[in-house]
Amino acid sequence: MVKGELQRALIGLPEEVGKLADGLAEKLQIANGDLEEQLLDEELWSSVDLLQNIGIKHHQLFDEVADHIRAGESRDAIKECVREGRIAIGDWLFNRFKDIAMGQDPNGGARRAFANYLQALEHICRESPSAMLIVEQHDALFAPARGDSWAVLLAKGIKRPLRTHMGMRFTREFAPSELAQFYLLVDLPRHLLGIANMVGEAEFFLLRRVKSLYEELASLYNLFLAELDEKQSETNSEEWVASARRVRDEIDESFKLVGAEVMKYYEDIRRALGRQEDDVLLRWIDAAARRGAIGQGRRMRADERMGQEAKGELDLRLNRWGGYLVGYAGVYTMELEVARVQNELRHAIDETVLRINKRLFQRLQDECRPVREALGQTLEALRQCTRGGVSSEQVRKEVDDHREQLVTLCNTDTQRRLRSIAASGEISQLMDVLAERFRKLVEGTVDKFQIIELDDLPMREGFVPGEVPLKSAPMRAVVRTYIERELTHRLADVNQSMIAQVEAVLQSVEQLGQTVDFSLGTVSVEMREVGKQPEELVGVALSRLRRAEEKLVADVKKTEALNADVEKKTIASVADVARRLRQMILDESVVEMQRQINRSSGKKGAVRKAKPSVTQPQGSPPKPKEKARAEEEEYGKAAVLGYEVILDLQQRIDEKVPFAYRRLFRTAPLEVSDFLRGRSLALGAIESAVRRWSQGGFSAIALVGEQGSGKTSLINCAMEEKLAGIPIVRHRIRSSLTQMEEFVPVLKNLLDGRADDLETLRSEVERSNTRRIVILEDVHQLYLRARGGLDLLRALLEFIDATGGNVLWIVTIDQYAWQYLNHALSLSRHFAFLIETGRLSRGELEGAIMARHQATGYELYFLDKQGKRSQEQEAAREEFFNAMSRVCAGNVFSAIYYWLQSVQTVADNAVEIASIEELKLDFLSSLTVEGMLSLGMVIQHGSLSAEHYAAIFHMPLIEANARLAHLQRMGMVQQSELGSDKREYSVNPLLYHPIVVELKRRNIVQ
Amino acid sequence: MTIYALLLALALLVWCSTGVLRNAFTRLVWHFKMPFQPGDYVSIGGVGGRVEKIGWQAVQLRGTSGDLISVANALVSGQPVVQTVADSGSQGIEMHLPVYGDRDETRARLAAMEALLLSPYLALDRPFDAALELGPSGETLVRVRAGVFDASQRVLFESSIIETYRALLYEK
Repeated sequence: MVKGELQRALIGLPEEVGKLADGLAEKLQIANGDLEEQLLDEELWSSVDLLQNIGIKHHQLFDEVADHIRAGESRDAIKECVREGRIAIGDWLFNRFKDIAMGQDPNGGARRAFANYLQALEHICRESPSAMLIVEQHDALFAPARGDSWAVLLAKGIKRPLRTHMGMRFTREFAPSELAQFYLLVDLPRHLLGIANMVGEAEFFLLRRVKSLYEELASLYNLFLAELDEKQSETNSEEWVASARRVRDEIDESFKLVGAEVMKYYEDIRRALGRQEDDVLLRWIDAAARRGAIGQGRRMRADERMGQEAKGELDLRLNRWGGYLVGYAGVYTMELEVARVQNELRHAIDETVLRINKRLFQRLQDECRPVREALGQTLEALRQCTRGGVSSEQVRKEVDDHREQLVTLCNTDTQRRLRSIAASGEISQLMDVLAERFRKLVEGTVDKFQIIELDDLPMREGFVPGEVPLKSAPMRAVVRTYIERELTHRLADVNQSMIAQVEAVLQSVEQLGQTVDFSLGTVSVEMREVGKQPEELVGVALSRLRRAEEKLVADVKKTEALNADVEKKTIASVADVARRLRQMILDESVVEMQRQINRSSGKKGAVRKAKPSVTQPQGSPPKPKEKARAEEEEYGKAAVLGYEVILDLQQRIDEKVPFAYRRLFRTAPLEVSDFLRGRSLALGAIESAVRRWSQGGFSAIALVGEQGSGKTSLINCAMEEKLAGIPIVRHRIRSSLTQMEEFVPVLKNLLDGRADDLETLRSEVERSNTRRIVILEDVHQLYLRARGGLDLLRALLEFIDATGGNVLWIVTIDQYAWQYLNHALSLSRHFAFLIETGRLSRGELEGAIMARHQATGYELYFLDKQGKRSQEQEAAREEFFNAMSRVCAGNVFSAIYYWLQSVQTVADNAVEIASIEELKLDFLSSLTVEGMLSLGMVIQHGSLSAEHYAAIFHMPLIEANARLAHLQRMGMVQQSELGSDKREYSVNPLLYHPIVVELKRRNIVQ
Repeated sequence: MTIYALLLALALLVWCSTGVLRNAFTRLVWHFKMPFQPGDYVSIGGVGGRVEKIGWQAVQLRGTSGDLISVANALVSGQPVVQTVADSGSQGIEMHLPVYGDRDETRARLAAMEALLLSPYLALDRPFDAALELGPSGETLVRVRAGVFDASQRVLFESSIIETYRALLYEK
């Protein structure tokens, strides 16, 4: 049984030693065989298994592809089959890698195999004879040897003649079990470390090969798909089958190579194990040949501690390789997980935002179609009337009928349906649905991956692993940061954009209704009361209606553009977030991920706190000095960034209050203005103005007030109470407009004119007998404090002066713009009535809030200071609105914010409102003069683009952008997109009043 | 001889310290009625700036370019002190703009007025105007009187007026 080398070592040794060595070798050989088998079965086989499975699946896929081709299926079907197959293989591999990445015991097979091997060695030791073995000393033990002491040499010198010449026999004794224990339980495990390293290395490198093989496979599939696209013929099955077979077989070579690598690793391990077996037997024989002789001790006790240490090291080495396996599988699995998240994200957006947006456009078109058809019929009917042969009475009847039908269609039916579209759950709950999808997506993402960053991966053979640089990559937290916080925030306005589409159509239909009512009404009235002939009137009406039709078509086109814009922006936002998410997870370090999470969650000093979590062991408290320094830094930061209290205000509310509720608390003015009915003075002034105007007097009204003081709501109220029955046209200037060529079409449309220049339009209106009320809102958008910026407003004032006889002008303007313009242009000279809205009283604020709340249909409960529903709801409500009135200083936007901020819970059809927490805005007083002046200009103009800001302050655009961006970062201004390339900044409505107070204190506004 | 010498020294000392005493005496008078307060913007004789400190010997002003100017108290009491900054923080300015050779004078006046109105630094709590006047050598100038909302922005205010004025004057 013993091999040649061992036999040579046994020559000259007592027979007993030879027998023992023989037995030991036999048992060791069995144990080694078991180890090899177990290693191959439980450890190395997992790579082989991965390889085999990929190979089988690949072959199956391409056999299937060949079958599809033979069955004459289309190119697309075959491509789909390949794609699905690729996804299936990818998913299967992803799950296997995920098992490794998530596994608690990554190379447990190897560790179990070695543990069993060590147990087998212990068993061999126990079977070795424990009694002392007495054997005759052989010749070699009497010869002087290097390293012998003088005493040993003397003893050997005496014994040698006694043995040779006197025939004396010398014996020695030793314990074979002790020798076995030392060499098998202490010595051999130390030498097994190298083998354990080989096993770990084999497993790790084979896993890498499996990954690269899959990548090779995937690129081959892509090539095949491209090849399919290039093929001219649609059904040349033989050629296609040949291609599929080629792809099927092409990868076989790679499989064979990897298989050969596995076998090579196995062979190397097997050889190394055999070598160790021989070596340990040789060392055992050497010891057994000398133990008990002179100069050699009889006993040879194995130190149990050394044995344990050797086993521990073996275990540690395998454990470290296991760490590398987990880390590597973690990196790859994370990569696949990111791809999965990206796909899920796209699905979520496709199935929600994009689908609803597309459906919305279809519905809007469906609503516009009957209106256009009815308008077309009316136009045709009017044309018939002008062709003659129809009596005046018939014409008038025809006109009245069409007027009634169209007005009912526009102002009642279509508007009702459009409003129901805007209020539909599909749109109003879109953000909540999307948030829920995102939440599920995040929850379905793997929480953490143990990864090794690429720089730390072993890149060469023979690498001995040290401490494994495993890092915990917080995948779910990163995904949450990017999707739930960033993407949700970026898409927060998407349903607003959808509502804007509906409102644009609504407005257009409403205007059409007004035009129809006015034009056909004028025909009917003038025929009946003035006795004019249809020929004189119908032409004008036809022309007006045609223009109204053109405008409706143009508005629908604009809506189409808005709809496309929503789709484009959504796709761009999702793609951007997905790209940055991928980049963050795959390219950035774990520390950077942690930083990003902390930055987004807005924790103070988050970056500073993130570093120790990677480098410092947990639980070690910071040294007092470091703590003091950290606190000092923290203090310094807090002092500089005092404005942090106002950052993400909207986001915080978005996270707390469902969109369905929030939607009704938009800062848009209320349609319902019941709460303003108490403003009898203002309404009385409007009534007087109307009376005076109807008597032919100049009565232009300027409605002046701060943003959020209820100017628009007052107009709504006046329209219901004082202006009913009078033709009214209304327009709100939503963004800065300082060019005459942009403004003239607005006026032309409002006044139903034909001229393309202001001068002619003025003459037209002066000459016209038509009397109407024109409401022009936010006139402060019509000037710019820069060269040429007052010209448009001057022209408008002149226009108002000239046309005041026929037109009752009602304009609204911001109070601070009014103050300035009154100084600059003596604005008040051009108006007969000046109505200052002042600030909303406590009751009006309560009315404005409650009107919105009541529209939601939720029940309302006020909470006491302990956070429980107050027993005295009326008293609690009284106290709440008193506090709101004090904090908001009569500003409705501020009141809306504080109301939403106070919402504690929205559940079971009830809203709970906690006490108001006032924002600390002391930092405003420490803002620079330059910053405050910028805010002053934004307030005076309503909103400012960077170009306009640059023109006011005579500075380069880049500097203007930087200054406004800085104010935006501070949360002082908000950016609104008005088109593809037009962006304006307006003051954060919540901060409007505090900023105004500070501007007044600094004398920037009056 | 010794007495004469002592008297002479005393006289010399009194003569030398007259200024010191006068300054201190002025400060003492101010103790009852201060002509201005630290933080006020004043113009004393030919110098102006923000009052930093009122000492026993001198008043320290911080000029618009950041220089520290000391004016002896006695000198302050003998000069007209103009408080250029109102309680609101605005400061009055007066500047003369040239009417360039071939330009229409009325157009220049209107351009100056427009430039004044458009400047974001204009204080609305002060009157403002632009009028033509003749310079020392008979040339026509536009005199602009207005206020800047914050004295620290005076230079920017004047600069913005000049920039807009020139641009308006030369635009076609």
